Amino acid sequence: MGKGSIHSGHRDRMRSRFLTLGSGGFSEHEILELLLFYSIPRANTNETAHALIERFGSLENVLAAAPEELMTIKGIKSESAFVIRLMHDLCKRYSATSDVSADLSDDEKLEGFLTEYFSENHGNVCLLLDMTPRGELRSTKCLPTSSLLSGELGSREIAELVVRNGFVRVVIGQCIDGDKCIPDASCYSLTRLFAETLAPLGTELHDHIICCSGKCFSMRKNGSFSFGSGGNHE
Amino acid sequence: MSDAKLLRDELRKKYLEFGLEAMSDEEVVRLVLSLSCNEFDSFTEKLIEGFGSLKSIEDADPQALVRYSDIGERSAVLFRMVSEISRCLAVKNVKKGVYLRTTADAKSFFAPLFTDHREERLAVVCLSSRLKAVAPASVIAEGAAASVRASCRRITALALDLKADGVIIAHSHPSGKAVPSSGDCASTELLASALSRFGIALIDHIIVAADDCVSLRETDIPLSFRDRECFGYKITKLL
Repeated sequence: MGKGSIHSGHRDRMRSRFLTLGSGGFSEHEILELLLFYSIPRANTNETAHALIERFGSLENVLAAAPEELMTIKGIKSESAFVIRLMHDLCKRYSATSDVSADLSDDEKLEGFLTEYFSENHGNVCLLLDMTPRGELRSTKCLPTSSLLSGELGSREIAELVVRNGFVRVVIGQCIDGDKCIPDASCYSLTRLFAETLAPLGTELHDHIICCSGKCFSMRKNGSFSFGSGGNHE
Repeated sequence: MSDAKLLRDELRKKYLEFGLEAMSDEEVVRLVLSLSCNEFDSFTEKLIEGFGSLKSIEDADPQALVRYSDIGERSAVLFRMVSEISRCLAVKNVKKGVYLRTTADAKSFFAPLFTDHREERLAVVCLSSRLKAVAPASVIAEGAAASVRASCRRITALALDLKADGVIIAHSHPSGKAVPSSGDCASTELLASALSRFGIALIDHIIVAADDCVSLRETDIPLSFRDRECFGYKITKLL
């Protein structure tokens, strides 16, 4: 087996592990090692990642370092410095609009969050809000509505996502086109899909909120759907 | 020079000269995808059509990204890295320089460190005698190693290193209730005793569970750590 194959096998495994576990399963130097895959082909980036952490102290400091400083580390050339700088700027842009741990414990806060999200992120998507029972936002996952309605993302795929991420309580925020913020037949079929998928997993489907033109329609509040919860109930 | 290479160079030039702020979501998605594949132009169109925005793509379930657009795991990882690293750094940076004067302050302070984690976690914040955090909270241990007793030495070393006057610790019961066990109580007393030898106060021990948060200082459990110095730290309930 050639050296290239050894590296590519390792890289594939690391990427798959990251996609499955997220950053929780990775140390800071491993995240850097993974990032350097995109600028250093067919070489072990582990040592370089360690050297970066040793020199700058933390992942945050590495990302914030000037390219000239980064290139003083053995193995870091202009392409790696570019990728690190780009990741820093992408994270900064993402963080400016991110509300992890936001308190969404009442309808007003929840609808306000979704209205703001969809005012800046236009698209026919379903945003799954992963919430704690106390109403804090843990994470968000975006799914294209078309994939859900066509069956490309069905019960099995949704269940895998829920189990993989440990969802306890889910709110669906769905952005639709048009002027009227009322659920149509496709909205109800999505509610049914999620309700039937989540119930056997013991994950609560708390609400399905339709968002359109700055307005929100909560199926729970309006009694449009009977939300069971795999055990919990209002 | 191929069209793809020309476009890639153009995007890089724009980014380096003007920053991401000057680029549309579509341009940023193209730039990111150009790191991992040659067909970045057509994949960008598909992703924007399906997800609508850069943020939605970054928030997307990676398997859904791959299924929807065939971009492959190599590209999906890049988008996932943005949301994951951002989340990681946001939690880590909470919250140097805040005052933790009450049990309610301490509970609010620690809650974000535990909401996104399913394993046991032990965190500590070091305080001045004015109850101001002297450094961001540190996660001392995770998983099976997240026991207060086992981490006594590390907590003490951290407090000494930061010249702290007091310490508040928090650990999680991810799959249980926020009810202090006898082990939690015993290790609280042990840590308080260890810290007091160096003039450092254990001000509180917060237990975080999925649906509740408990301060050992607030409980009726007879614990001698409550009799020691706490610099005016008060018991108040979260509103």
